[in-house]
Amino acid sequence: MTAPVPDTGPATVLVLDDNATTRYILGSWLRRAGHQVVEAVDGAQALALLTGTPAHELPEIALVDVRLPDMTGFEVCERIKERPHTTDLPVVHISATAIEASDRTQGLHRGADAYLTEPIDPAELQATVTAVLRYTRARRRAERLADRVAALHRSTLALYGAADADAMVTAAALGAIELGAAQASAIVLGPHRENLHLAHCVLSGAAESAPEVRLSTGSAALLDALAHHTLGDATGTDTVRLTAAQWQDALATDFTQDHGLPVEPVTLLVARTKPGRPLVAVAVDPSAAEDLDQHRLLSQLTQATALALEALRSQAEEHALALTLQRSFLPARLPATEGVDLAVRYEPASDRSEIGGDFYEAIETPAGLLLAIGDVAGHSLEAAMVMGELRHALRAYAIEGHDPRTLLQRLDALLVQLRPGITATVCLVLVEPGRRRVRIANAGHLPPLLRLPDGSAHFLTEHGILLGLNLPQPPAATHDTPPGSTLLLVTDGLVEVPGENLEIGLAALRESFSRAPGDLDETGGLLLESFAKAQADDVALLLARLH
Amino acid sequence: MPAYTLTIDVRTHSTGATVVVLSGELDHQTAPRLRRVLERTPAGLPLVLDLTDLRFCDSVGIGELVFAARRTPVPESALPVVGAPADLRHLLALTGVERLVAHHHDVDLAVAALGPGAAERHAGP
Repeated sequence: MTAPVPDTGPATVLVLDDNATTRYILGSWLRRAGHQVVEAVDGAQALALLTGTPAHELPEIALVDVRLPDMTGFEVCERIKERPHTTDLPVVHISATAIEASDRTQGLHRGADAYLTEPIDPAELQATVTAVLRYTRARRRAERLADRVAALHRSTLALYGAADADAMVTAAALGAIELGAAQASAIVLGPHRENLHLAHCVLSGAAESAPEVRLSTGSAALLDALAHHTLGDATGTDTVRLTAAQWQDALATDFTQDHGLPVEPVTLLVARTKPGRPLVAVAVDPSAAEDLDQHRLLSQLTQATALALEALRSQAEEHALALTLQRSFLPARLPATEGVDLAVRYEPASDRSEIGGDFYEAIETPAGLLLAIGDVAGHSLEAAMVMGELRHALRAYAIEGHDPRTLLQRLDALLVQLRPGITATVCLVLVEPGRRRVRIANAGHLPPLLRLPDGSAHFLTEHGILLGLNLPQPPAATHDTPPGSTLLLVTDGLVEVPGENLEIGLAALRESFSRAPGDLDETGGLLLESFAKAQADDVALLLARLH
Repeated sequence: MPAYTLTIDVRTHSTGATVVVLSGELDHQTAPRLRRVLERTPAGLPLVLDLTDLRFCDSVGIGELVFAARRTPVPESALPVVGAPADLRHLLALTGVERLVAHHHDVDLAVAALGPGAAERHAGP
């Protein structure tokens, strides 16, 4: 980019003197050197003029006569320095001859930046103005850089705090505005690589109001077009200036969406963290990246966006992997069995939370149709793995034709042996071959609900202790199931809510189940809808109608 | 003051028994901290849990109560607990963990039920 602006270029200079001749002489010298001059005749006029001038149009230096009709030049200087609006305005005092050295030091002590004594030599005036301008401009640049580094830091925190791709492009676009861009667009591919996310932001006219951000989504083809102008397949960062036509052509590759961006030249900054990753792009108005420091900061913002996206992506990938694994542990389909209709619903815990260890199963065994539901304590990959192990072990033992109590005791022994310290609740319901009787063995799980053909529903409450403790289980309990009876097995995600009473939750579930429609799938949907709303935990439910 | 979902207050009763007072929510997020506290309590001395202000307990929390019950000095003896709220008692009943605990009205009664010389011989009801 271009070299830094020299710190000695022309400036607007305020000349404050009650003597018209002095004002004229000083003004003409300054104008000859290329400066612009504004004049004031007394302190009040000068202060009013400064107050009425917007910050970016303020003079860059003030020449102030120390003897003024309404106040001393020292006082003017102090007023200038104490107002936030003008506190950075350097003041050069000018005084008549024969001034005491103490006057001069007083002026400097009270905030002046330099002191000239009449008769003034034009070269000395020029040199003083140049020196003062050089250091105030350098200081201002350093302050602005410090402000922008702080802004970059804030934006980086916002990027890492972003919960999704939209929040991330918003943070990146706002970050570019904070770094001095008048317009900024940030473009990333979402963490699942499904969608392009774009945020466009324009610096608002009113200084106090926040810039407006417009979000849109689109196709990754746009990133391919931008990569073609920059990094290709390489990693790292790159910056390129695109003409209005090039920018428009790139935008047009995303035929899915008109992002409604202005067709103007842009400076495009891109970053890629690893080979094979999609590009992250930030486009700003070219003037925003002209300054070398500014360009570096914008480039770092783009890199920070790419890194934050990488973090978001690995988080999303981990969760997706865990969910896939968890689902692979669950039966792909339920057996078609004579005399029993089955329906199952499984809802994993909400997107950002951890995975759980709920499971269900339905197996044809020599002793009848075995229904199972269970929950391994914990929200971790380990809980999900244990769930898979338990389910497979259950299948293996069940095929040998054991009764439900023996199955629970086998699972308990397995858990104690292989996963010491982990507990699980499991409820087994064996539907006997004639379908007219069920045998329940429940290891500390929520009791199954039985709805009779007359619509009445009650919990089958016989149970033993949860698994993983190496403790014996009571014998299975037997219940009659007249034709048309329906069983409901659930995990505690359905009824267990912090701050809510478990007993009330169970009573409400029983009530809803007794009034549920005849269709099993519909019933499952309704129950999930009315009970699993506030759920952070996973929920599994298994329904069985016995003909 | 730091904000805790579960506060764990460990006291030593005049008889030497360790009293752990739980308040708030015992779930999969807070349970590991209770585990670390329980592991630091003297293994040879009786343990009493005061659950009066335990508002919520999930299946992992139940697992921790089982762990605590298994830390009692005498194997197969019940863990004295004080003030378990109705909802927790319901959950203890459903999971069958009820049989591993003995309920008491207050800490002194719970400690008294441990009997003299409880440090060596912890007698459950």
